[in-house]
Amino acid sequence: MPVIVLKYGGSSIADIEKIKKVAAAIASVKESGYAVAVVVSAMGKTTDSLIETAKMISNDPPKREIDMLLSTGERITMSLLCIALNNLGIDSVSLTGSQAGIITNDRHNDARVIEVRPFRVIDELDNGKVVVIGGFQGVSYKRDITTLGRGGSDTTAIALAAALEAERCEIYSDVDGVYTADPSMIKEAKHLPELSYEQMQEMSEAGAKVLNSQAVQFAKNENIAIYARSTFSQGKETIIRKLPAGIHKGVSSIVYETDVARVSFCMEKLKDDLDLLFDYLDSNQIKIKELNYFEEENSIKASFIISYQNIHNLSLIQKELNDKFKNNINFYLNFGTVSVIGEGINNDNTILTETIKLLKNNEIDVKGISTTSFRISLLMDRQKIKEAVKICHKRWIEQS
Amino acid sequence: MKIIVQKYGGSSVAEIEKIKRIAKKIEGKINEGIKLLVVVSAMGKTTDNLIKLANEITEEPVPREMDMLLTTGEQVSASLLSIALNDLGFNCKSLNAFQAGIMTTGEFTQARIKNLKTKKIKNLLKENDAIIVTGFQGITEEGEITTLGRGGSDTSAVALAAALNAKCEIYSDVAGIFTTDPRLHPDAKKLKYITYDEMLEMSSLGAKVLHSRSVEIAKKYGITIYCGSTFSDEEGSYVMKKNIEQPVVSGLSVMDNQTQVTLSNLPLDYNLVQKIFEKVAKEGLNVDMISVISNSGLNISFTIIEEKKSHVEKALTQILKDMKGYNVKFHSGFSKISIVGIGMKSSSGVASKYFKALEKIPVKLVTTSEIKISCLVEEKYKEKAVKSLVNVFEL
Repeated sequence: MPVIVLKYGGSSIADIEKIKKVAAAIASVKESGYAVAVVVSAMGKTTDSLIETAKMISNDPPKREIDMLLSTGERITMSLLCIALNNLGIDSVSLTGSQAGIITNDRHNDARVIEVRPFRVIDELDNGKVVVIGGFQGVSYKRDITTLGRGGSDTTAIALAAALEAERCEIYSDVDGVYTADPSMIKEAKHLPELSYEQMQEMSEAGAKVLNSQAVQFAKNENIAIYARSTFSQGKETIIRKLPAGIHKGVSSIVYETDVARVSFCMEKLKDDLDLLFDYLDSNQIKIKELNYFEEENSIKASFIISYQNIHNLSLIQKELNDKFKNNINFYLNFGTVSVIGEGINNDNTILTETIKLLKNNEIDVKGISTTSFRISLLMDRQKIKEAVKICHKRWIEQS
Repeated sequence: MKIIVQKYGGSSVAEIEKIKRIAKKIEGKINEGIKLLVVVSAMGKTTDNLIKLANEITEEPVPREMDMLLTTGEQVSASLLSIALNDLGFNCKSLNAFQAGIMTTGEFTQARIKNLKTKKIKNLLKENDAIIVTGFQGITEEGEITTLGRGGSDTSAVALAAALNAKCEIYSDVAGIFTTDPRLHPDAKKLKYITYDEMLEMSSLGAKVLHSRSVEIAKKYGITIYCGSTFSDEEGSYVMKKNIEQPVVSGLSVMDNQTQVTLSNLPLDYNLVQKIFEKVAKEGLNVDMISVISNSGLNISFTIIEEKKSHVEKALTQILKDMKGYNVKFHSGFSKISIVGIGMKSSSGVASKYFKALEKIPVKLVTTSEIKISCLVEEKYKEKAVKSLVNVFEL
């Protein structure tokens, strides 16, 4: 029997009525002859409200305990979904990330899946059951519960699909796939019926909330097609799969990220402050992006950006760094990035230079630029993001 | 290494402010050089709310999934208390039943603790000031998550205390064990001591202070349980082997929502009695106040809690499906009132005093054991009966 993995995001299962509808949809997939594994997120805004609760107690909650707390969210959904499935006469069983064999490293709050041991899942599928797995969570080799960070349930779904050699992985959310820009921000955004793994990964890295980059990497490694669909409206979908290079040339989408901070650092040469800083960031599991480093006569200057959506103790980190490095370190929290994505867009500089010119004409200051062969990312004030996305979308999607 | 096991009930951890206050209370103990193993229940009405959610889908949710659902409650309170202790600068970790090694049987929603793998807890207590363990839950050898039934967190705490040979302190919003429920009868007196046997009768009769399985374990391993109030310094009660004060009647307990099941006109076949109760036990249903009367036919009556009515009805229909002419009746709206006292064993006249106290009240059924007398009355007579018994036995 072919295996299929279905994943339902938080808004798809936000209340009991929706859970019942999802159960009915799963029942019909099961009846059409598939062995079905389902991955679920926490209901609606559960995760956010749990984080808020923890912050009412401490502004530096231990990461391990946060994972213990947050992982309850998916457990509530998965057990309710199984109760609904069993009520429809569909034999089902729910498994935590740990029971499903999602083994991760021990970077709490932002763990990486290092191995999937899906023995229990396979056994239950062989018994004819629908297996419902809590997304976003895993277990470290120390047997501590871990969570996978933003979009982590997608990673669970696709990693499982890979481990189960599934025919495909269907990701259900409140949007019917991937658009050329966030459709809730840009009403002219166009639906994209298909994307390559590489394009999707660049979009995720640049902040698109559709699928996370590690998830896409798993799909790419095992060549699993991902279908992004809407839970409650049928019709359109986006298929993410292996595509020959060059069939979608030019700008394909405009993506933004809001919670971005720029950190700049200046110090005397010959001191090892920079090592200290990087060690500190590493021990606090803060990933740095777009590092700029240059030496002047007597000093070294460095700057980088951090995405702080998954950092639950930012104010404390800021304080500790200010205590450590005094005036040598500066934080600018009020930033965001806008990225232009597309295959081959940096083959020459025309898109880059024209974009900067356009933004400047509209009084949007670009505070930093970074590029890859698929992406141009522009750092700017958070308040300017919406306008910048509009301008870029109009120029590179609507007018071309 | 001196270890104390403490347990905090749902109302004690009902909100963030209370969790912070408990952390402060624990801080005091840690500063005395004691290692704390803290067992917590789910916050306030969390468990009830989760049950409600499941009941929105179906009245009969699968037990395995109910356990998966309900066990999230304690994991939330355990991690929050751990966060609060870490915030005070202590080393503390929360553990769920899987991590704590609380091994149980496989009966979902009412599993029993089989044994504890305490090696991990012992190691972690060496490195940490406190360890928080989720109460109420366990894990089977197959890795399935189970729960221990209502009030099961007491059992988790006492079992851990027994395994670690530690003192056990159980905290709630009630400052100890009273002669009767102080929320209903503000005049109820607090008991300084109560024996395991008395407490067992009280727990199984509806006194909500301690889960009866926890008292069984305490009795088996000789663990003294201290029951006190979370947020006051008032001296609480000790559950132990001997009662130094030895009153004739120690307490009174009330159990509401009782339904009387009456089967009449059954064929005169005693095998049937055994079959019926075997079936009921198999379904995990608790029955009490059993009476079997035989004249021309067989009449059986027993009590159950009201919420199990449809379940019992189903079981009886299955077992009696080939029989004709019998009657099954369910009467709801009863309360069971019991008095308990280790001194009853050696005192006479308790029964006559008891019936005298109830002379103006229509009593439906009476059952007795060595240390208790229970009666079934309509709920509307409950208050009157309790008042009268409290007076007569000076509770």
